[in-house]
Amino acid sequence: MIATSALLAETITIDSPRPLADAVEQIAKLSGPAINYEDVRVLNGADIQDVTDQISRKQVGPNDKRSLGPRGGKLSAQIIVDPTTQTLPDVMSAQNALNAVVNAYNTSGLPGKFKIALGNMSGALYVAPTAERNSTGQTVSFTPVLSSRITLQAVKQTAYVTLEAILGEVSKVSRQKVAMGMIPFRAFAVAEVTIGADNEPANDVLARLFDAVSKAGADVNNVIPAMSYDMLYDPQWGYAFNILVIPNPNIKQPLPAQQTPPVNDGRFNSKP
Amino acid sequence: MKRLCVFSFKLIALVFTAANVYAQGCTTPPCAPNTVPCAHCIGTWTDDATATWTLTSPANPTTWNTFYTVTGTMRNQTRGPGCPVVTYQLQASSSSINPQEVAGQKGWSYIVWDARNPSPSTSCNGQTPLARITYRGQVFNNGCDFSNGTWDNSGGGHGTFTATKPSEVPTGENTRAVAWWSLNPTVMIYEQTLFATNDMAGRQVYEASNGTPVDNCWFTTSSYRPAALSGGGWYVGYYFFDDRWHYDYVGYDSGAVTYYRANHRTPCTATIPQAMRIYTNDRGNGPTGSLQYATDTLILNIPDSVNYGTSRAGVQAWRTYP
Repeated sequence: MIATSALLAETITIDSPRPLADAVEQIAKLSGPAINYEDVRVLNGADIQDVTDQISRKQVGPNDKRSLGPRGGKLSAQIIVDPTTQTLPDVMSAQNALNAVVNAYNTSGLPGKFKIALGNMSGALYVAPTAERNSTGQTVSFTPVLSSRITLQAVKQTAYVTLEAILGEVSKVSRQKVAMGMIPFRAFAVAEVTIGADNEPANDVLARLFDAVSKAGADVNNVIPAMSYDMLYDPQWGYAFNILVIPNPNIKQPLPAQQTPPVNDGRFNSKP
Repeated sequence: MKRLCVFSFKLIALVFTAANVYAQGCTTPPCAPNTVPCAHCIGTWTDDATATWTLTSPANPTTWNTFYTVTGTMRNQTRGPGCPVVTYQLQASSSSINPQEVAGQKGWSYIVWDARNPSPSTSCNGQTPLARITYRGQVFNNGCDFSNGTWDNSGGGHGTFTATKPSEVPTGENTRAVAWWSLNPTVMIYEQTLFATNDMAGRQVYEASNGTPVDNCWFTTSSYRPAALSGGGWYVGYYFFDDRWHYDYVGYDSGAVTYYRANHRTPCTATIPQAMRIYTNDRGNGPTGSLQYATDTLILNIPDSVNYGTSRAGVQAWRTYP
């Protein structure tokens, strides 16, 4: 829910299993730059809820596996939007809004702590955990999974295979299971890329992959193609790596019909 | 020194990992360059001197880089009120369209429209129809509804012209399920064929939202995001220079199928309304208009722990998975 005051400060209020992820999603809808999000792991029993009875469509027996998810909670923060467009038109305004929600999250008592970073090459923003609450309830430092340094041989192949290789390396290095989530399959199926890495943070490799895939075949003079990720954690299944295509703010609008007077250059007739 | 050399080599290797990608369409349309040229110039063109060219060329040419004969008439009434409309015949032996494709470049179709034998040929308002006027130019792809170039006539005159025609719009499209994607076995690859009288090769289509998707496999604590349209543009006739466009990838990730089953979500479906649009009005710098030609629904279906299906425009594909 977003409430607007006369000062063009909007209050984001969320009560959900992943309040920060949802807040970031709302900010992303208001802003232009790509915003990437990595969930914090939920390891403490108090931060996990059994949702089996809420989500099951069939009778779940005593021997069936239960469905567990993050408990989440309430998050509220005030952000400042552009007074004219009601949006976050640039990186700085988006970053300020993210700072507001991350600060609110980090003081909320919800599990873990997060930080915001600006990508070195992509100009994208990253929201990633720096601490998690462990199984005994202590908050301990945590290295973001997608900061893992990976090495990949530069091979020309479909972007999909490259993405699989990146996630496989990340899983291996971080020892966290990272599975393919919802992604734009066709984009990754048809784009062929040659992307390698030499002990490089996975985020930087992914930024290059996203840049290549989103620009593949795009009319870069008329559109600003971009993608972002949203890596969500499930206490039983690990991470799912979802990819979002950023709605394009720069697609040419149809030209109004032009009424130009006909030319009279004598092309059809001899003159007297 | 040796270490420095090794480091330098790695640095160079990284620099050269810059993407060099070209694809059949793109994720954020309009896509460019569309290399497929317009297949024909059939239709009624109006030029910048108000003459109308009613033209016919082969409706379904099989290949590019080939000359195809253009026939038809040109009519103008440019000698003022009271003078009759003058009708020319296009000279079949010298009027042609030649679709051109060069890898990595925007496709175009050379045209020569050679109009002769005006009727009536008598003077009016002190002006006499010239025996011949010839247009040489190109038709731009994506819209295939705009051409420009130069003209010359039998009187020694010459200049430039532009001409437009109403953009052709398919009446719909046929969908065919081709195969499960080898890289992700729960994603079906669909091929589409546009319904159109004349070949639509050279045009560009794209998908757009046609309503709010409903994914009832998804649940609030799901780590998979709900199914949605991803967006995309396709070049018509890219592989076979005909009315087909390839391919639409429809499905859940196979891991998501396992995930939703394990979380007791079956039976469940995702329903995603899809609108298909076709670009128009490309004057050489990309299309600036579009028209909707079809709507359909994508459905992802996990009925139980064994079967799995997808559907596009009612064309279902089923399999067992895993």
